[in-house]
Amino acid sequence: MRINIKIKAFRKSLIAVLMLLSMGQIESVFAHSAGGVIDAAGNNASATDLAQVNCYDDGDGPTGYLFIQIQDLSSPVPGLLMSIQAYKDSQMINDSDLVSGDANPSPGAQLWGGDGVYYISASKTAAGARTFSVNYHCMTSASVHTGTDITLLQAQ
Amino acid sequence: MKTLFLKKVLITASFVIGMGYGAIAQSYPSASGIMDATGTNANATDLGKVTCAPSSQYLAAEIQDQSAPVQGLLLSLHIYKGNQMTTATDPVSGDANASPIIAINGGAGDYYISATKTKAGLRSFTVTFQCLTSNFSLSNTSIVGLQLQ
Repeated sequence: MRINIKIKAFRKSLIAVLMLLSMGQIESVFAHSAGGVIDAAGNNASATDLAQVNCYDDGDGPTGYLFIQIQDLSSPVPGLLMSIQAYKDSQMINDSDLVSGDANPSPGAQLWGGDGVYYISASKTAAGARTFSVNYHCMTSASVHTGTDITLLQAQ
Repeated sequence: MKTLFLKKVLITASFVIGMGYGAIAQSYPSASGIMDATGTNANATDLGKVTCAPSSQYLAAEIQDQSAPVQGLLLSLHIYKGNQMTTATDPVSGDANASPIIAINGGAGDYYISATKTKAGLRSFTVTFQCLTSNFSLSNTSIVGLQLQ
């Protein structure tokens, strides 16, 4: 009986999540990952999602770099690839997921900017709806996870 | 209508070809360069700061990949200012056509533009950019290179 209730509760939660996903843009936050659907209508080649990541010393040490990674969860379409960018001050880096829909994210990239505000963005190379997830982690210079907060600025 | 006008403006601008990142003659700037010269850096990104004069309302830009096509290797341009960002990609490398034109409605001040690519490989490219007033007249445009990779 108790197991049955738990299954029903889980199922209810899952349905709620799927309903949110089907409504297009949502900012789902599991640890330090986020994602959603970009260009839900499939007609905006310029669609770009943008967020601000604040890196700070939460007791594990000051930030050395921000690590970013993106995974395109949609089926492959020729010429349609997803990329993630990180920028801070006068530096920027880019990372692309070259195989859409498989189990592997992009290789990952690091932007060494210390503590402070970074911007991360997700973009794509052509029109088309894409479901994606991103990972972002503020890391110390010794590669220990440190304070990481995110604020969504633009969802397209 | 707006896109057609911007295209006309940028076609005019494209007559002036720049050498590397830098302010180009008068108000019709473009910048050309080579990214990832060794062909080994998939993360290579070029970054510049464009300053639009006080009369400006928009920054419009496009990118053209002038290298031969390589499977899975595409060049993109990003413009961002404040809480806004947009992206354009040249879908066919090496042909006579640039990417679609993109613009940010961010008023006067500093915008950032960047060129990125989807994987390792040398790319020769040109970015054309122009600040515009609210009625799409040209306004003063200058650029400073911040990062060349």
